[in-house]
Amino acid sequence: MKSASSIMLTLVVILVATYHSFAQEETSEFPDESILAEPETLTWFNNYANFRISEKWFWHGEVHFRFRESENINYLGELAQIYNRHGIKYIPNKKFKVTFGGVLRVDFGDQIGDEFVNTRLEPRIWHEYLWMMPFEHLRVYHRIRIEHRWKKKFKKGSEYVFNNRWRYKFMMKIPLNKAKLQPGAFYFNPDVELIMQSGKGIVDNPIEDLRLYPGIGYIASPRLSYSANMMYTTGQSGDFGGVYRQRWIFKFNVYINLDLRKFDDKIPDTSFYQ
Amino acid sequence: MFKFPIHFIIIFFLVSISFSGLAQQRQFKKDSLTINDSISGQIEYEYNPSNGNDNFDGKFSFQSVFESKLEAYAYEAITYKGNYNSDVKDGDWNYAYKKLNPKDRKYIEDFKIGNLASGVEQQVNGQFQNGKAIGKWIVVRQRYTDSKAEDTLLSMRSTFKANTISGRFESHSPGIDLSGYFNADGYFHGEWEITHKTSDQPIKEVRTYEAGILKSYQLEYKGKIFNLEYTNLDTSLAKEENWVDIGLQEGYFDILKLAKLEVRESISSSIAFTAKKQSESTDDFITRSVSSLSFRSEHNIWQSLRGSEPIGLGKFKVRKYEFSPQEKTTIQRIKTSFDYIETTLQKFKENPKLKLGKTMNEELNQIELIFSVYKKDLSQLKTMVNVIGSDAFEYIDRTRVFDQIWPELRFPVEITYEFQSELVTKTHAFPKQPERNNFNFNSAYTLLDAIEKDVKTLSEEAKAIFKNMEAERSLSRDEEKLVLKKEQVEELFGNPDNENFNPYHERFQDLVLDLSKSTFNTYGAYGLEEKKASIKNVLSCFDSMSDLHEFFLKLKAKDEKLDDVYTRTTFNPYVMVDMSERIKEDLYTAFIEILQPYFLKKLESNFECEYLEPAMDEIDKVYQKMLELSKQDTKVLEKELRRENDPKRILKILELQSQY
Repeated sequence: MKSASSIMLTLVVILVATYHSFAQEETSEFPDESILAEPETLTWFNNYANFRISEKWFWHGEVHFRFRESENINYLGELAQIYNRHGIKYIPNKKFKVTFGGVLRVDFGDQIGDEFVNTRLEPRIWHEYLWMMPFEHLRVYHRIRIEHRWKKKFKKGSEYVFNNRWRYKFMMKIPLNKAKLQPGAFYFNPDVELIMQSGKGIVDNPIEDLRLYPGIGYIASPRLSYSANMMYTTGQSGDFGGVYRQRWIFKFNVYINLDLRKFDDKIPDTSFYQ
Repeated sequence: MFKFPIHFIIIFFLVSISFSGLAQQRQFKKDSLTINDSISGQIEYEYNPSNGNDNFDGKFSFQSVFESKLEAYAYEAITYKGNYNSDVKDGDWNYAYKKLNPKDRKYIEDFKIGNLASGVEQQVNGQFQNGKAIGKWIVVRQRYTDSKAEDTLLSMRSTFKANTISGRFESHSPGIDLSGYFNADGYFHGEWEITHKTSDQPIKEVRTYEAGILKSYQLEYKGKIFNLEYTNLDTSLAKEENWVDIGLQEGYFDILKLAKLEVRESISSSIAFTAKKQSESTDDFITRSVSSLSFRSEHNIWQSLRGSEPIGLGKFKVRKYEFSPQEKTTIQRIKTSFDYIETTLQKFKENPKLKLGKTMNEELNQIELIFSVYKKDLSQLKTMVNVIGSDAFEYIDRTRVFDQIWPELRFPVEITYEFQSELVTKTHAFPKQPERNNFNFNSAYTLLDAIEKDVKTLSEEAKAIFKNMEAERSLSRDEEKLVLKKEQVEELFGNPDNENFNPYHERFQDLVLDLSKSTFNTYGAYGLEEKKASIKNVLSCFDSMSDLHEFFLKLKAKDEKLDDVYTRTTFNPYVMVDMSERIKEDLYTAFIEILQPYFLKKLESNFECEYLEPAMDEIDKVYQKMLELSKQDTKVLEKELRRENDPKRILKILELQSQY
């Protein structure tokens, strides 16, 4: 875990230093103070699935339905995105896992006018690395996720622009009513993620998002868990780096874990008298 | 005109003779053969192919050399040479039996090298005709030194007609010359002269037979002739008497031994002794001489090979005094009774507890003395029983014999023995001495039966004393064990600081300690007999309590095992944690919440020695059943068990039965 922690620390230092250098270079063009945009309200319904296909290989699948506010309705105004993330996961041991796969996000536009399209697709290639630190009662996780994405605007004739996302997440799962994370346990889930981005189109907005979302979860069985979070995010606007957008997002998550292996491979024989 | 038929006839005969000659040509074969069930050897024989190759026809020889079981010899060898005709002995035959010790000196013959040998050889030469002994037969027994004949130990000549020995018979040994005669029917007949070549002066015997019946018996010793007679042997045929033929092998001379040889003339006892000794020597020599024609030990040498009838070796005629069925029964009872008396007296004497028991138990001294009285007269009784039980007894005049075998017993009226340095005198009712004049089967049996009953009664008393001695010694050893076992149980259940002490031990601690105390105290209050009767059960009870400690140790481990097998652990890849969940929850809950408390409560309620083992057994079975069910499809069971709270009903659903 020492090596994992030192990698995290190095990464954070690099990201902060990069941010400072960007900030210093662009200081002359920035207004005197940053602009904090009005917060948006959204609701995400997320489904996370893991299907075990062999001793150490899993299929990772996510489907998210993300709603945003509309003119009259906060949080659940209209469908903003349908998000599909899939990958192959390899878990060599119970403290580390790595996943590689693709994302296809369908965005639904809210700008009106002939020069805009209603939907756009955003494909990504992603890979992530997760280290888990076990403690007697709780678990601490460090996650690095790197995404290579092709993104374009809703404006007709827009070209896809390639950029990279650099994401670091720190989270904990702390059981509340049980000694450990087990079926029947409610848990508290503090979660912080910093998302940086880079690429030709990223000029003055390297910090895409800082997400803070504490939540409460419940483990119904080893195969099914639920959680609910209220997430606050802030990050530099894509149009102008001096503008910081804000979002409040309700997240409702379902986690499904299924073992697709044959029954006989799972249960060893036992006897008192052997 | 005649030329052609003559030539034709000559050629026909020549061809026929050649053909039949070819057809009858014998062939030769080597094979192995086992005789007398254990002596295997090599045979070489001729056979007629038209009758198959295992049909002896022509020359035959057998040879076997084997390691000797006799102490004085290293090897034994048996050879036969003779002729067969269609599997039947026919022509000259030779049998040789050798006992040899090889010497260091070698010899060479053709391209064979061997050792010279010393030993004894007996050869039998005779003739068979169509499987029956005929003609002259000779037996020679010689001693060999370094493969050279040095001494003739026996030479015997006889004649056979139609398989029956008949005519003159002669036999010579370094010590005895014998000559006699068999009549045409094979009976000993005429004068049989036996000369004992003793060192000082030869002793001559003349036994005169008439068709197998011994008519007279004379002995010439130092120029004097003595007349001998077997007083119990009938020598005159009379009507309505049952006379039978009896051969040498059937025990004729055993009859003579029982028949009591007496010298008519008044002579000194030394002469009488010599006469009897020489007579027995003669009996033995006649037996050996005649038997050697066809027997080696118990083996009939000519019947060991197929193809001949048993040879008739001469016979006698004796009067048979047939036993009535009742007499036969009485004889059998006499023999059985004597065997019991002899065995019981011997066993008592050899009992290792006797010596120790005599110092503590007066009765044993008394029994020992009574048994020694019987033992002293046992040899007389044995002689009596041997005579009565012998096969020869049926051929002698019993009215005379009973008087001779009457046991002269001298049973005392009182017996005196020493016990703990004091002389004790007691009376004992020994059996009544039978009268000599009226001694017969019944009085012999009455005597033995009375002795047997007395010996049996006393033996049973002695057995009870020995058993009691053993029980007391055993009790003492068991009581030492009991104290150790009690201490062990109290250590096991009385020490909660013991690292093996678990909640089960704690729960039953007081019950076990109470049971231990009460069992021990109850036993302590018993009398000696009760203690003897109950010690095994009490020890067993403490063993059960020790077992219970071990059982509870394992029960805890079994709880954990059941918890484990009724738990499924699944890895949750999202939170990277192994998560456990209960499987077959209704079944497991029924066990944990109802059955287990039920059994423990039942054990508490019936906490007595006799229930400990059944209780442990019962609980073991339930755990084992739960273990088995963990691997089975139990959906139907679980449905039945849902909301079921009655332990007996649950046991029934699980197909288990209460053990106590």
